[in-house]
Amino acid sequence: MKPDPSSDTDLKSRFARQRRADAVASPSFAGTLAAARAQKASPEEWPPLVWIYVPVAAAAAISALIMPLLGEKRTSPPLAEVIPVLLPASPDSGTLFPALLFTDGRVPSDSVLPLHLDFPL
Amino acid sequence: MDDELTRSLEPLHPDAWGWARHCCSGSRVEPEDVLQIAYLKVIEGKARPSGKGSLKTWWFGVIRLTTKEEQRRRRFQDSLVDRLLRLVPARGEEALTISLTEPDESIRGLKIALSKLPQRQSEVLHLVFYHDFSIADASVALGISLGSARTHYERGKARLRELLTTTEPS
Repeated sequence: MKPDPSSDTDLKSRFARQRRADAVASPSFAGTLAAARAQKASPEEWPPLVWIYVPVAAAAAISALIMPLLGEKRTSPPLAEVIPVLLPASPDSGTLFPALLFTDGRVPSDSVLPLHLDFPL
Repeated sequence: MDDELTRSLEPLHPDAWGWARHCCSGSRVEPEDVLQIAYLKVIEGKARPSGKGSLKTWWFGVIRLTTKEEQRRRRFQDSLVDRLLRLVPARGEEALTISLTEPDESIRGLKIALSKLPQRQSEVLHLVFYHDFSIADASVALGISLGSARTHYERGKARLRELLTTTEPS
């Protein structure tokens, strides 16, 4: 059937044909209503929200077990191990070196000697 | 009250079936299931006529919303989480089965053409041509404004004609 742009009769007849075909396949009202009443009598065994609650509860339980273990690993090292590494170079290290070369090699006892320099003693 | 309402829905049942079929076309939701759930809503008192529009427009709106809910539920059931929990593969899409199994070629062509239209256009055309709704009634059933319904109707009709012409060149 060719569509006729001048009117809607072509479309109406197509839809009417589909309507007749659907009416043949239509289930009975009484049967559908009885099935609905039966559905009310026996609700679904697994309500849909269970599929949300169960994974969320499982994730919460797993994280509750794992988080304390991760917390133990994150304890900071002793302060004494960190401080020498962070000490800045002595501002007097440039002048200290030539002075040491002309001495008899005695290590000065004062505390300004930079600890990170390697002295040829 | 529930019995009274369900009795008043009986004359609308064949049309409700046709509307449910249209709403479910292209998805894996069965129109029988949608109608059952819609009737269940009425029995349980969850769906009540709002007084806006006729009983038919209200009932068609209920069926349309129920179809949407069922489609969402099916999508969730096919989601990854659910498949992992059930350890079953996803069910295959059956979008084209209706059009392929339709024996009448004219109806098949119409269904294929309607499936290619935007959903709103397809719904408005179905309500107007199949159920003899006015455009105003269709707008109430679909929960859209009258102006939108008119636009969907005009554009949809023009596009449907084009599609029917191209699918039936002879």
